[in-house]
Parts: sequence; structure tokens; C-alpha cells
Amino acid sequence: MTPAPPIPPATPPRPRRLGIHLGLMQFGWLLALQRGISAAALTYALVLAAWLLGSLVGLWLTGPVRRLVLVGLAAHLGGHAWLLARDFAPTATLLLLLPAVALSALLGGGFFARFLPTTDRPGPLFAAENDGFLLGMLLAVVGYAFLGRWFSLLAPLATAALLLAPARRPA
Amino acid sequence: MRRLALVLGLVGVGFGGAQQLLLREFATLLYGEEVVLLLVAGVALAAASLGYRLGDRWSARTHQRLLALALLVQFAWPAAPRWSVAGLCMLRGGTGPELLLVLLLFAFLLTSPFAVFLPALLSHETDPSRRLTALRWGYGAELLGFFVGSAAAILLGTRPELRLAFHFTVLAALACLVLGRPRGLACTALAGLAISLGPALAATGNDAVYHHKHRLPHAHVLASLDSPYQRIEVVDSDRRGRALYLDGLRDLDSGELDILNHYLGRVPARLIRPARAAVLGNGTLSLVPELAALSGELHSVELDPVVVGLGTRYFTDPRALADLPRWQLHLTDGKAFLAATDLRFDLIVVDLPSPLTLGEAYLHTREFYALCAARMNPGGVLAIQLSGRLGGRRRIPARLIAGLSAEFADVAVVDSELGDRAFAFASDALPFTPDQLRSAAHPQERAIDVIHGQPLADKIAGAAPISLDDLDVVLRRGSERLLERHL
Repeated sequence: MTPAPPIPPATPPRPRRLGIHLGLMQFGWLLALQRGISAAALTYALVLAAWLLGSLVGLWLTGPVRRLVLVGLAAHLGGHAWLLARDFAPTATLLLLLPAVALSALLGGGFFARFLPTTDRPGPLFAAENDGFLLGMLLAVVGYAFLGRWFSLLAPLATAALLLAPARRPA
Repeated sequence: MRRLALVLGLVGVGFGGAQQLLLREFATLLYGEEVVLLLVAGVALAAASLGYRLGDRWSARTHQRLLALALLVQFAWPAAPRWSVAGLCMLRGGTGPELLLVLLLFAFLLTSPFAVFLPALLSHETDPSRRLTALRWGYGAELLGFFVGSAAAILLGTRPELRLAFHFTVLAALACLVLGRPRGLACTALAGLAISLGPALAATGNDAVYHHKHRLPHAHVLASLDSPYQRIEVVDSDRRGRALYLDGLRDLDSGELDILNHYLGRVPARLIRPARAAVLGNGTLSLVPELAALSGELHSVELDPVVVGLGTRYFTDPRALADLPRWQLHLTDGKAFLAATDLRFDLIVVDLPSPLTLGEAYLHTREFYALCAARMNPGGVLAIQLSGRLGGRRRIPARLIAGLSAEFADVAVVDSELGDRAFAFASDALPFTPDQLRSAAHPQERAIDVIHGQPLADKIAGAAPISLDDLDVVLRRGSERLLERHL
């Protein structure tokens, strides 16, 4: 089945900002869950599986990117605030947090589904998102190591704001 | 669309497998501190970006040539990076920045050609609706493939020959699909050759790395296996005897094992005779037979089953573990075990490497020490090793003592010249005196210093505890070590 032609989005794509946001959230989840629940390989595998599932589902969603940013951010803030309230949590709570991980990842697929069909060259879009993800990964680890759990909680708020900021009007 | 999904699915499997192979190999060759893990992961991502950028600029012919080159390099895996690194170390007589260039080169060769496929194939679709469909099926297949390739590489880490056979088969299938029949057949033949010769080449490459990079003449690697957490290697050499390496970092050798076990487990267990004890870490299980004899009940907690497997094969006689009815082994994370258990302990021994990765550092935090304190009976003792002599207040040993002092009322440190490191004992009220600790020194001890009370407080004055919100030491120490080795 061929989907309806996508409507060109009103906001600019900002793939680098998106990558930073996603890198911060994915590594934020990995760090938080390995620290607060368990560093077992199962934690790593389940987080990545939930992230992958979220990205795949996001590819099939047709709503505005703004909605996915807000849903993912809410899931991130809720999960991290819950983890922040306790140093170490029982292993079973991991299962309760996995849906929040998947919700955070919806934006990854949703973004490409929204912007890629109408872009001239897909390569630079993927590259810029990937560059941003690399920066987000480094920021997530360095920020957590030096500034602690509050950084992991709040940093995606800043990147979400950058992602949703109104575009400058041409002079 | 089916062909697109199939090609990108195979690309994903190859991409995921290649990235895991690169990560584990170079984390070991460059020594696996958190900083090195970040560096290798970052370089792999940067190489992928380069591939994405070049994807719709390269002609199909250039891409095919580079893909063929990438496959050739992978068919020489892991011998190629091991021989390259060992050779460069032999030429220089040590390590230098050129090893980082080797990482860049291999990351580019392994990762970039895979990243080229997705943008190149999507560029062919110019109609937005068709491109959206191609994205959904193609990118979806690549993501799934990436997960499968990564998972297979991790799960088959203890069977290196099977892991390579799986990876090479996927690469050969991809070559047959996209490189045409003659090149596809050539790649299949090469993959078969690599599967038959690879393990032997890799084994000799392993020895060469220990000869020239670790500077251990006549070293021989007895075992080299990957767990989901790290590469575990058992190495025999004239200089160190039998040693255990984790991601290229020496964890212990047979000469120091008895000294480590003496101060960490034997001394406190002899002095307090615990009704119930727990050992966190100590994957070789070398403490277990003696501690089980001195305790009413013993629980061992180790995260990595591969360390346990190699530990009982090369460091601890399995017969000594065979008849210990009051001993239980829990294969789980130490903090998860303590968070979940209702048991209370008279002795908790924490036998872990230095906090050079975040995963290890969590178990050196004051919050973790608070968790240990909450799981101990009154008068119970927590014993840890400090990974070095008690030095300046910014160094790891002083910061660990600061963490213990923040959570326990009574802390004593044994500084051993023989062990070339210090050990700490903490409790709400230590059930032994400094004199008892002094008289329990190892029989071959040369000089022992027991520090307790105000002198200890003076020594660590100004040291900040490592905490869940202050783990900068992991990156600072890792960066120092990386720079010392390579720049």
C-alpha cells in the first residue's frame, strides 16, 4: 500500500539538534537504569530493544513532530524523576520503565518519516542526525559524571526547547 | 521493496556485528576504561556519519570497491588489528599516538561502507510517497538487522569461531546480493577460508599483543573470551605468572592473589568468624573455599559468568568448591542483590577493580556503602580494597575512605607494602583493634601500617567521597591514563 504523499512540514528539520536530544535521552536511560536498577547485560539489551521498538513505531506515525517531542520528553522526565527519588530500585521496576524508554524513542522514527520524503539528499540528513547523536552521547556521559543525576534529568529539556524553538523569519 | 528490505536488513546485521567486533577489539587493545569505550564508540559513530555523507556522492562503482575492501578487512578479523597494533608497538618499543590512528582507520573501513547503503538506496526514490514507504521498510529492516547483528556478536562472545562464522556468512550473503556474481563468489570463498583459518591467526595475534604491547616476553594467552561486559583473558608469562586481564587491564596475577585474599577476606573472617558473609566480585572464586570454612553461610555475588567460568578453570580448583553446602553463587549485579535481599550479614567483602568504568564506580560510591551498611548486622564489617596506597586527597584511595567515613562510624585502613595497596574495614563499631590487624599481617609482609581514628581523618582531610552524583574521577583518571599511554 502506498501512503498518501506527506505534507511538507512547517518547521525546519534541525537534524543535529534532534540527534543531540536523542543521544542525551538514550544514554540517559542506559546510565540511569544501569546505575539505579542493574548493570546486568539484560538491562542493556532491554533498553536497546525498547528504544528500537519506539523508533520503529515512530516510522509509522503521522502526527506532528512537536507532539512526539513532548510525549518523549514527558516519558523521560517522569522516569528519571522516579529514579532520582531512590538510589537503588528493585530489578522488577525495569519492566515498568521500558514503555517510557520506547516513548522517548518515537521521535527518532517519526522525525525521519516526516522530513526525509521531501528532502533533496537523505545522506546529509542522516549524517547530521548521527553527528548530533554522537555529541549527545558524549554530553550524556560527561554531564552525568561531572554534574550527576540532575543533569540526566534536565538536559533533554534544554535540547527539546532548542528543537521546538520557532524558526527565525527570513529578513 | 522486498529486495530493499533484504539488502538493508543484511546491511544492518553486518553493521551491528562489525561495530561490536570493533568495540570489543579496540576496547581491549587500548585498555577498557570508560574513556576508551567512549572513544571507540564515538569514532565508530563518526565513521558512520562519514558514510552517510558520502552515500549519495560516491558512484555505485566506488561504493562497491570500498565495500569489497571493507569485507576483505573483516575477513582478516581479528588478526588484522592485533597484528597491526603489536607490530607498531614492536617498532616503537612501546605505545604511541599511532595506535589511535589505527583505530580511526579500522573504524572507517568497517563502518562507513555499511552506512552508505541507506541514503544511497533512498535517493533512488524521488517520489515522496514511495520514498516514505522505502524508508519505513528499508530503515525498519536495517534497525532490526542492527539489533540482531549486535545481539549475535554479544551472545556468541564465548564462541569466537561461531561469532565470526555467523558474521562472515552474513557478509558473504550481502556480497552476493550487491557485488555481482564473480565478486560474491570470491567473497564467499574468502569467508570460508577466514572461518577455517581465522581462529588460529587470531590466537597468534593475541600472543603478539602481549609480547609487544604489554611488554611480556614469552607471554602466552591461555584463554580469550568475550562476555557481554568485557573481554576476559588468562595469560601466562615469566614476569607475572598467571594473570587475569579484563578488557586489556590487568585485574590480578597469581602472585598477588593470595595477598589480596589475605587482607580482604581471610583477616576479617578470622577475626570475627561471621555467621553470614557475602563476597561481591571475586569472580575467580578464589576466596570462597577459605571464607566458606570460616563463615556459617557464604553468598558470592558476581555479575560476569564468563569470569567465573575462567576463574574456576585457571585460578581456583573446582574440587575445592564441590562440597560447600552453605555456599551460594548469585550471578547478578552486586547492588541489585543487596537492594533485593532480606538477609543481614556480619561480613561483606567487596572485591572489585578500580573505578575506571561507570559500572564499576557505582559500587565504590557512598550510596552503595550506605546500602551495604543497611544490610549488615550490628558490629558487621565491610571490607574493601583501595586499588592503591593511601595517597593524596584527590586520589581514588582517599576518596573511597571519605565515602566509607561518611557512612560508617568506625573505619580502619591497612596499608600493605607487600600488596602495594591499602585495604579498608568499616563498621558501626569495628569488632577488632588495630593491634589485632597488625598481628594478622600476611606471613611475608615487609611493612604494614594500620591507620585508624584521627590520624586517618587527617590523612583524608578534604577528600570528597565518590557518589552517584560525583563520578568525575572515572573520566579524569581514565583520561590521564589514556594520555600517558598514547600522547
